[in-house]
Amino acid sequence: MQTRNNLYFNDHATIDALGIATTFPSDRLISIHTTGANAITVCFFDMDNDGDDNDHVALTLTNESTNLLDSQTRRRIMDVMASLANSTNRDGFTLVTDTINGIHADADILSSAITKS
Amino acid sequence: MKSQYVYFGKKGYHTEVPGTDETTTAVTVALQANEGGGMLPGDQAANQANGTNAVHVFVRKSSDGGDGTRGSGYGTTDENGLTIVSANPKDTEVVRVPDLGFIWSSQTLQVQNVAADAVYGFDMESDDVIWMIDSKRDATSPPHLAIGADICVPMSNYLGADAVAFSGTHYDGSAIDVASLKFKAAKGSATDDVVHLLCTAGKFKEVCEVMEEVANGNNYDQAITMHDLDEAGVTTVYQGFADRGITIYGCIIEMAAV
Repeated sequence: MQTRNNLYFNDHATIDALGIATTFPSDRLISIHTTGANAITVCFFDMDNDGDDNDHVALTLTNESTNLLDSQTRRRIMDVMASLANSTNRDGFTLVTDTINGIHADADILSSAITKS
Repeated sequence: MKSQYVYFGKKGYHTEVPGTDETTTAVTVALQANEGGGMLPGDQAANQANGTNAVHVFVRKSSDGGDGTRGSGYGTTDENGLTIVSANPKDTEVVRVPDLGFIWSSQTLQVQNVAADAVYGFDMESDDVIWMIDSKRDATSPPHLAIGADICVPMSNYLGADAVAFSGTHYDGSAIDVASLKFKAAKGSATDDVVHLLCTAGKFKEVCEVMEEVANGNNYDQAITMHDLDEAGVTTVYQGFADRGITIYGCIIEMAAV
């Protein structure tokens, strides 16, 4: 039987509106990209099954003192995302960001912003 | 479902024969599209300190029998270890033109002629060959902190590889082919994102072996770095490439905005 893992993101102080808290199945993760000095974007297949667009989560990371350190942090958080996507959590899901409770999967992940297509 | 993740960081690479016999005007090479070389260098004025731009420029004389003229600042040894006379270029010699000797304008490179720069100018001939190669990850050679700079992708989204011919060689004479590695598009649409690996010619099957190897890896805690060029100019390449005699000359990431 296939074991599925879901990645949980909450980018808001509440969970009462569309697109501020989501879980994406990790096998729907398409790819991860650098989108800023201290930012990466994690792309998922659209949860509304729209074949023309994605859902994505922009992660803001620690702003390091040099471009090289920024780059190393971005790369390390991509490793963290790969590890989280490949983990199995029998309690329900794997948490990446949980703004309400101030919990993030890594200390260098400062915040997230969810964009639903 | 678990999947091995792989990471590619870009390294722009472009070569061509400008086809201009430079006498009174400068030779220009246009890089208008990311797909043309994997880089879109920012404008750079004349006489910038060496190292200002992340793109290194190389010129190789071709065997046309003519020697042209070169500035006095090119030393006594070329990029391939040959002994040279700085101001007297000979066939097959390869020199790197420092930032002091070229300008960028709207993704067009202009090598200064000797009349404009007696030290680092280079009066190229019509069949001389020019290379522009990223030397480090840097804001002067976008995409830098944007889509196209890198990609981290699960191998479960790997769609396959295409072998593509490359029109040119590396400046040391090594033949180059392109292996185009295709992945499901980050946009989520019915298209692909492509990583073009400029690599040792005749090694396509070996590149496919490497992809098979990493797809069946057992390292689920991190992404495997397949190729990366960092801000310090350090290149990291997956060992499986070297084990199969593959040199990676460039890595061009072709994808749409997400």
